[in-house]
Amino acid sequence: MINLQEISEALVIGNAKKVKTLVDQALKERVDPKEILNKALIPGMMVVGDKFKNGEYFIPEVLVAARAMNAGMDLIKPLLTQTRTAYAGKVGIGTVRGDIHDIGKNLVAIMLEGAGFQIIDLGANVTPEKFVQTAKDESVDIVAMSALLTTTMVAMRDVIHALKEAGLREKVKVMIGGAPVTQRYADEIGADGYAPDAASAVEKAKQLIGRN
Amino acid sequence: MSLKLPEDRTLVIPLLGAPGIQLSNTTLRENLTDWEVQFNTIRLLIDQFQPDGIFPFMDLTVEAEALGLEINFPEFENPSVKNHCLKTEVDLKALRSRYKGLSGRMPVFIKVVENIAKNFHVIKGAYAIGPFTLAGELMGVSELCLNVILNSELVHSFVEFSTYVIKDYVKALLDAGAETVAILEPSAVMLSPAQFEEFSGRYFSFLAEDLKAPLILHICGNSTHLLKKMSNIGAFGLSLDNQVNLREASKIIPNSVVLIGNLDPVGIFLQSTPEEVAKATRDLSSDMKGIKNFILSSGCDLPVGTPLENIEAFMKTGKRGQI
Repeated sequence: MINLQEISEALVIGNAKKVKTLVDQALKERVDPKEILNKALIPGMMVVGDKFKNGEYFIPEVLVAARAMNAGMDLIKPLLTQTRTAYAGKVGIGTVRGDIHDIGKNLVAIMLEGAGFQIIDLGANVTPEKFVQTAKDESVDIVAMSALLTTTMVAMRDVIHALKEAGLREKVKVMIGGAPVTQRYADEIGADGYAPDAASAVEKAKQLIGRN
Repeated sequence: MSLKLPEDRTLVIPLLGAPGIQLSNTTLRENLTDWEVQFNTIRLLIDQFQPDGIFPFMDLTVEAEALGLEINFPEFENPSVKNHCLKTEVDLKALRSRYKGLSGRMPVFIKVVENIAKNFHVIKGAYAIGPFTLAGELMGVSELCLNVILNSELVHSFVEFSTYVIKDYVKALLDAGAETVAILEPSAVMLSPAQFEEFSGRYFSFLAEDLKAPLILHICGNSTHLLKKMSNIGAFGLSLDNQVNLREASKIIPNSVVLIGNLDPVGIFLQSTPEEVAKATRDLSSDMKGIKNFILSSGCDLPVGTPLENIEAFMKTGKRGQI
């Protein structure tokens, strides 16, 4: 009988091979994929988030752990029921137009996914139109935007404006982050939330959709 | 080679460059590709603000481009590397054999430094990318960070080659008249102290020792966790971003190392009023009172569009604050 705790532990130390083998074994033993997600992968990623927050882990360790999580996710994703109840919420995330820096955005996406959110990753250099289209087509709960450059963070305002124009602003929560972004800027452009780092982004996202 | 700071006053050297395009009515791209345009902008900045020292424009793609990587180059924004396409020892070997020394836009910046040195009696600085950051431009930052843990030998190969390239460029900048070169190592902020020491710090030490030059290490963002390691790598100075508490940093960094910083380039310089800038400058100056070897500066490069009156307020308040 597979020990879900063991999967968590392998994830925390970034052992992708072991996570893959154990998840595969768990599935063969007919463990519910939702249980693997909720009792192994998510708790593992939460430990990683805590270690990152308290300075025990740094970005390389988080990326290696995320790689291990993805090794497990790749196996269970196709099996997870596509119903909303399986996820904490749906997030459309991207780095804004003109900005190609995606490491921060990737970290937030990883941590959100690790916290049970369904992620639609739009990549970098994402136009306001693309954000709006995704919000509409995918019925996301949250639109999350990242920018590393002062010159590009202004595009966040354009996205919020475009969401309003499309009549979607009241239907989604908007959260923003990135090196030059501040709470003050979030307030100024009318974003619902700002997070200074990837771990706080998870708390913020949960708070925004009322799961905290 | 050494650089002595005056003992009776604090130098005021903001990381100018990009805001100067308002003075010269030019585009960022023109300044980053044409030494005469850039030198003229720098000249206007010096005339207008009378800083105690000056650096050229900051551009983190110069070295990668010189190595043959393709870059995106919008007219009004900073350029960026398009594809981080070198992934293996084999790729690196091919790059190493293609490398022929200074090329691309390196001569633009060398020429700017040469002309600043010839024409101005201020401290002459220059920039070069840091070894770990250049390795990230070659391989991709995420992949480089993963390999810090999964394949450290590969990371060392990339960082070592980067160091070699940077050394040639820094030497040329020093020969052109730069009195100090700031090594820009933003990607190192992601590392743990031990990883920083292994993959960045020791390569910086090599550069400082080998070139026998006063080098500054600049890391963007909150590098508080790295301060102890940064303090003993042979840096002449540490340029720290606004998230670092400079007063606290001065307790960790020995006073033989110059501390440079660290007013918020965005929250204060770009987004505040001249009055707010003056207040923040006063607060920082009084916070750092009594600390020797301190240069009053911005935490990082000032962005395009920084109001000139804010720079004015910083310079005036900064210079007035000293005895």
